[in-house]
Amino acid sequence: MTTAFTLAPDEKIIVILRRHRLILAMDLIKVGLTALIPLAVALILAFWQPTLFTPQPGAAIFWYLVSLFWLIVWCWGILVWLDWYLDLWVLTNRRLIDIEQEKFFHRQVLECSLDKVQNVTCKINGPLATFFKYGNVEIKTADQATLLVFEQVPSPNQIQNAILQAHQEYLDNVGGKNET
Amino acid sequence: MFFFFYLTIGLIVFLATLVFLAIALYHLFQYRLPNQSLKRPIIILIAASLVIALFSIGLFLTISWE
Repeated sequence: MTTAFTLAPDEKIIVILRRHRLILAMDLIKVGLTALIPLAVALILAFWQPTLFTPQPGAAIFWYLVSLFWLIVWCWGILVWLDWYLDLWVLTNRRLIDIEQEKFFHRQVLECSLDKVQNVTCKINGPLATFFKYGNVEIKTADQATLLVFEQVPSPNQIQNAILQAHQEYLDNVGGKNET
Repeated sequence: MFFFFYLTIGLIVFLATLVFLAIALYHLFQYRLPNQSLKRPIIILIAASLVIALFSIGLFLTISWE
């Protein structure tokens, strides 16, 4: 069975990151509100058609259509969750991996060896990000060709430190191996 | 006439949901993390889908078409 990424024999995962849960919650609230639309419609219709909540054929058809609508909304909820779940940023003791899943059929995987890391920037923008402690971590590489962005990850300051520390340890290990 | 109309709508939605769930499960398995169990999300995904689908079928069966 395949996995999102494969590890080298001596490679260890330091941290696996996803977007902050608040981002997922905000998207799921939209889904939840959409699911409530039929109930609002039913309440409005009930003023003109009180039989909507009684076992009448018309009412049963209405609720049958509502249940089909909920099935579609549920699928939308799964799509939102899957989009959040499959977007990953991984820091190992050897590299950084940026996996971006956009809907179902577009997937982008970027990898960068830790020795190429040149500059790590932490950005926290806005009151929500400040209050809930999430933000972007931008990693510039030595060749300037790649810019890895860990988007809306929790505790970006700690992530920045972890990347810099892993980078330093990686350089120390490589340097140690070269000297021997 | 109405019976076949609503039955067709239901079948189309069920079929689309089934295809969607199959793709979602494929993605979960294909892109799972190393040494990670997917039992819980898969059980939630399938169970909730079944509950809503059975609710729809139950409602459809209660409709008097005469």
